[in-house]
Amino acid sequence: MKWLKPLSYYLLLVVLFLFTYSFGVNKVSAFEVQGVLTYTSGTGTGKTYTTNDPYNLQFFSNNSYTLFKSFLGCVGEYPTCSTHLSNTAQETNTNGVLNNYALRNSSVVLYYGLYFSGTNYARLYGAGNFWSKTCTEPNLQGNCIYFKYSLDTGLVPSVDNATGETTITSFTYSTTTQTARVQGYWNATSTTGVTERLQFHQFSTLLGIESFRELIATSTGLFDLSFEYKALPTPYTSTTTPAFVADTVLFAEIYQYDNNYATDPFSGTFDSRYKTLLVATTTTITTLTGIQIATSTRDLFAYPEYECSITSITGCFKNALIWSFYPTEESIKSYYNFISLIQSKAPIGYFFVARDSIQGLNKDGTPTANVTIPLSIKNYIFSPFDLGISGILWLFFLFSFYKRLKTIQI
Amino acid sequence: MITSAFLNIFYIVLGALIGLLPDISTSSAFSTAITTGSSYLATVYSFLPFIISTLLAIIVFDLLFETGYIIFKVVYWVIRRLPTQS
Repeated sequence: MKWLKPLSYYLLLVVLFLFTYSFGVNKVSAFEVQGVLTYTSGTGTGKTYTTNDPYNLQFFSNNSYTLFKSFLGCVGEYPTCSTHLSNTAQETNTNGVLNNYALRNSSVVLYYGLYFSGTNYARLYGAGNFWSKTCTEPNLQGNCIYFKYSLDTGLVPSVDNATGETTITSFTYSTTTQTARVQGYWNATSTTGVTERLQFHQFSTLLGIESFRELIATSTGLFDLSFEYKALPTPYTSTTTPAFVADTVLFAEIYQYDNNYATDPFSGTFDSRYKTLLVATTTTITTLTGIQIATSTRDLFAYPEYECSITSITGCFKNALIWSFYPTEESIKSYYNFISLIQSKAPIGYFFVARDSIQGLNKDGTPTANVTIPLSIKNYIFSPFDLGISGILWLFFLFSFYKRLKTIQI
Repeated sequence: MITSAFLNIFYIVLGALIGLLPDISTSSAFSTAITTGSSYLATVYSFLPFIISTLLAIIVFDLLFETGYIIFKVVYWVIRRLPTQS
């Protein structure tokens, strides 16, 4: 018990340190906005984008289009809603350092925002949590972040001539629906013979390229496309499917095809300007749980045989030894069937049920309720509390595990 | 041939013996409880991520460590007892 007092002082210091660190760094009530905008509505006079997650918002604009300006704003009355612009991660000084416009639409709703170009960090200052998940035109209800493309002709947005940079912003896949989802921005150019094409395919070392699809951009703007891919072969529990597995890599690439350049009909030389890679990304579907007992399909099923003739007697002996001792495919399958049988019978089967159930114990399940907490309360009360308590828990675990190791007898 | 015969005999005999055991229940209340617990954890995780991650890590580590220790003790007991059987 002598160690209890110094331990208590140490824990108190840890908690104080964590609280001081959390409270002492940020001096203003601001939060960065980085994420992906989702197009919601608007044509012609301007498009409106919203964020599905206020903590996952990202902006981009086209530097090369001189008349293009991007606008970031929030709806509400000043000073509860105001915007600032910064070229770096550093804070700006006060509202209105750069171009700060206030727009008024027909419904007398005020917009406060900034025009900017290029990729910038934008900070929104305000009291409380004024994020809203959706905004609808023309009467924007509530406080929301929106993003308009407009010509630099004044306060009123006019013709939308936004031409963003071709990019892939998100590439995900779902093993339950066996679909891959590609999101990004592409351009449908008006130049004759020039097209942008999104190509998707999957590749594995055992089965090669599969599920190839190519889509041509027909309109400029954001795209959200899904592609089906072939599932990996089932693992060893199946009795009819060969037990082999391999990593599968999904590819998403956007090429620009220019039909003005192709194979030279006279020399036969292929002109590389015909096809230009603009952006590419990949993601890997990791192997399923299983046993990889062969590096190729052929190795799995083929009995190795050697030439057996009067000129190669050793091949005959090798073949004889292989016939004697090399196991057949059925005998290997019987092992997997035996494992499946054990998993379905008590009492060992219940161990596997418990193991699989505990593997499902995670933080990513469907929540029973959605809890919304104001950002300021989360940042200044819950987050330091969370950090402090988790640190204390880890310390207690270390001391408890040390005591447990001392009592173990081998 | 020899290996295949041996494996087939081995798995057939063992399979026959294990086949006499009862089947496990497919609708496991334990699995349902874990799934329900995960949904509650997901709710709390939204505003207390570090605490939930720490608790899960500690629980899983303890389960693995104690399970491994018990298996080691059982196997060691069997190894020590076998030579004494007559």
